[in-house]
Amino acid sequence: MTDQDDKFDASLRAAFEKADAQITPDPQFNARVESRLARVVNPRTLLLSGAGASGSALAMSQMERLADGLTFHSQFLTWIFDTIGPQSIIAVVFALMAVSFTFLLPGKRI
Amino acid sequence: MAAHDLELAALVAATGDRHAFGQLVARYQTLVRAMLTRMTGNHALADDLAQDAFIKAYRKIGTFTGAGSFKSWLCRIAYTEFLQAVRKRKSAAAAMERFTAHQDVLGQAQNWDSGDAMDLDRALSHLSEVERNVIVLCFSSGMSHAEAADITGLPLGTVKSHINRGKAKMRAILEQKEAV
Repeated sequence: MTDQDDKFDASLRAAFEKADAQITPDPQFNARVESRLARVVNPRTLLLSGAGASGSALAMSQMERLADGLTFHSQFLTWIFDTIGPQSIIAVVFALMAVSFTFLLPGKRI
Repeated sequence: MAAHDLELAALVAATGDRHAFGQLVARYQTLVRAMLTRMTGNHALADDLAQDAFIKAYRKIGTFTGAGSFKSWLCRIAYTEFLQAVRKRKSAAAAMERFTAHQDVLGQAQNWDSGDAMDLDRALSHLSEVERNVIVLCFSSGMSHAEAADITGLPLGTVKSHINRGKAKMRAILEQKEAV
């Protein structure tokens, strides 16, 4: 590389620096990006939701056996168990677990 | 003390922390916008593409391994956005219509000043798309030849050739203009 090449390189670099200096930090740009980020659906959340839903469905199919051995000493719990039914109770428990995983694992704040 | 890029990227990858990503946006927005402005020659289009690039970077941040710099990784995403925009417009010529417009006014008497962005863009408009892109990556974004090769997917030797040819063309144009 000749001196002239070096000189031109330096001159070109300076030209880019001066031209790019006209592009100043724009707070509105940040705001627009952050507002779009708020609408981004995390694929991991979707994946975990799907996995949670599948797990819940699988668990529900096994619920009858899980609830077979359950006995309650409290009349209130017995009444709830008889009224709502074992399937519904366990379904709610598993659904809550699935939702918890969905929100906790991706670090999403509720 | 400001957090290092790698720390912020790791935080975003692990927790999806938008505030941490906002710091990266603030840090690199001028670099990405400047790079895309020089490549497209259009501020509005460049800003749109830069936004798309940051959104894509947020989505794909789990793929940033830290092997190279965050800046280089981000520029690669921005460059891909630029190429996709060009393809969407069917041809590079359609996407670069501003450059064609600038060629018409190139003959106007005006001495080249290294600070004149218009003259710089006019000179860039005479380069082929790939020459312009590698020149912008190396001279505007401060990438090394190897990083430019990585971003564009071209062999290192090809990048060097494009840079040399691009510089020779720009030099001829700018010096000719200076002589007018």
